[in-house]
Amino acid sequence: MNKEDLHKIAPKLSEISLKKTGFKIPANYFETVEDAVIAELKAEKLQQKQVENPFKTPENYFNSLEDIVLTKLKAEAIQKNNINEEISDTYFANVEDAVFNKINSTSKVISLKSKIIKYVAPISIAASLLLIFTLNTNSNKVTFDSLASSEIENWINTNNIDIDALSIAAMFPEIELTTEIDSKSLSDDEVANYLTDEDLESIIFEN
Amino acid sequence: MTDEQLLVNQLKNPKTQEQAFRSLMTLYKERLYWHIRKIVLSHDDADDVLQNTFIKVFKNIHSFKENSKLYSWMYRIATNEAITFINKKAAKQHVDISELQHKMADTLHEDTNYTGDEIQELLQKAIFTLPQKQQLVFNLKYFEEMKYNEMSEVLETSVGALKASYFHAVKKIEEFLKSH
Repeated sequence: MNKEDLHKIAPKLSEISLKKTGFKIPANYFETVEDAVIAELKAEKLQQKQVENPFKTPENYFNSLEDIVLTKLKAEAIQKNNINEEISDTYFANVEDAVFNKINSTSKVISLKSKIIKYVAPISIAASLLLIFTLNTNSNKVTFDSLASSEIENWINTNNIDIDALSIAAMFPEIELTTEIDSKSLSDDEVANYLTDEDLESIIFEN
Repeated sequence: MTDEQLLVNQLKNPKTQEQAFRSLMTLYKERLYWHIRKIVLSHDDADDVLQNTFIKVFKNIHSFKENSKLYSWMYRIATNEAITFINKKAAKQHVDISELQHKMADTLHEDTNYTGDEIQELLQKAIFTLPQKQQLVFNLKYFEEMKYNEMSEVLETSVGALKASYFHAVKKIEEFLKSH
C-alpha cells in the first residue's frame, strides 16, 4: 500500500507525518549501546565464574544419595528397636534388686519345703513305717536294716497312702532343721533332676 | 561469501567474535531500538529490551541456521523480547496486556522522552486498540516501511496474510481517529 492508496482508504492517518512520532532518546544514547551491551555480557560472564562452585563431589554422588540416606535411616530404626527390646522401661529402676538377687542366688539357698521333700520326708516316712511295723508285729526286733526299701514302697502303694510334704511336716513339728544343705554336697545330676521335676517358676516365686 | 555470511562466521569465531559483535550492534541498533520502542513506549524499557536482545543474539549465534537473513532473525528476537517484557510488566501489575497498553498511552505525555502532539498521542492510542499481531504489522509497515517479504521472515507469516492484516489495521485506526 503506497501513500496514495493510504490517503484513499485512511485520509486522516495519511495526514500524520511518518517522521514525527514524538519519541525522543537521550543525547548520545546510540553511541553508548555497544559498550553497554559488551559490559553487560562481561559482567554476566564474571558472575557465572563467581557462581561456579570450586568444591567437587565424588562421581555419581547425588545419584546415590537417596539410597545412602534411606539405608542409614533403616539401620538406625533397627538399632533403636533392638535397644527398646533389650532395655525395658523399668530396667534401671529394678537393676539393684536384680543384682542383689543374682548375688544371693550364687549361694544356692534351697527352700525348707524342698529340703523336706527331698531328705526329711523319706526319713519321716521310714520312721513312721518303722513305728507302725513295730506296733503291728509281734516281733520285738524290727530295724531299718531289716526292712527293704522295696517293702516300704510296696506298703505305701498297696495301702494308698496319700501323703505330701506339708502333711508330713505338720505331723512332725518337733523336727528341727538347723543346718543348711551345702550346695557342694549335691551332685549336678541331682540339681538337674530337681529342676526338671519342679516347676521352675514356682521355685522362683517362692524365693 | 556475502558480507552477512562473513559477519556470521566472524561472530562464531571466538577470536573475532567481540569485534564482529560490535559491528553487528552498530549496524542494527537504531532499527531494532525503534522497533522495540514502538512496542514498549518508554525509553528505559526499550533500552533494557535492546540490550537483552543483543545479549541473546550473542549467546545464540551458534544456533543461527542461516535459513533467514541475520537481521530478520534479530528482529524476531527483538519482537519476542519486547512482547515478553510487556507481558511480564502486565503480570506484575495484575492487568492484561491491553489494559497495560491503554495505561501506557494515557500517561505517554508524562514521559520526558516523549514530545508528541495530540494527534500523535491519539495515533498511539489507536494502535493500542489493535490485536498484538496487527500492532506489529502496522508498526513495521507504517513507521519502518519494511517490505512485506522481509516482514514475512520476521513475523513468520505469509505476505498475503500480512497485507490483509495491514489493511484491517489501517481501517481500524482511521475509524478510531475519526471518532476521537
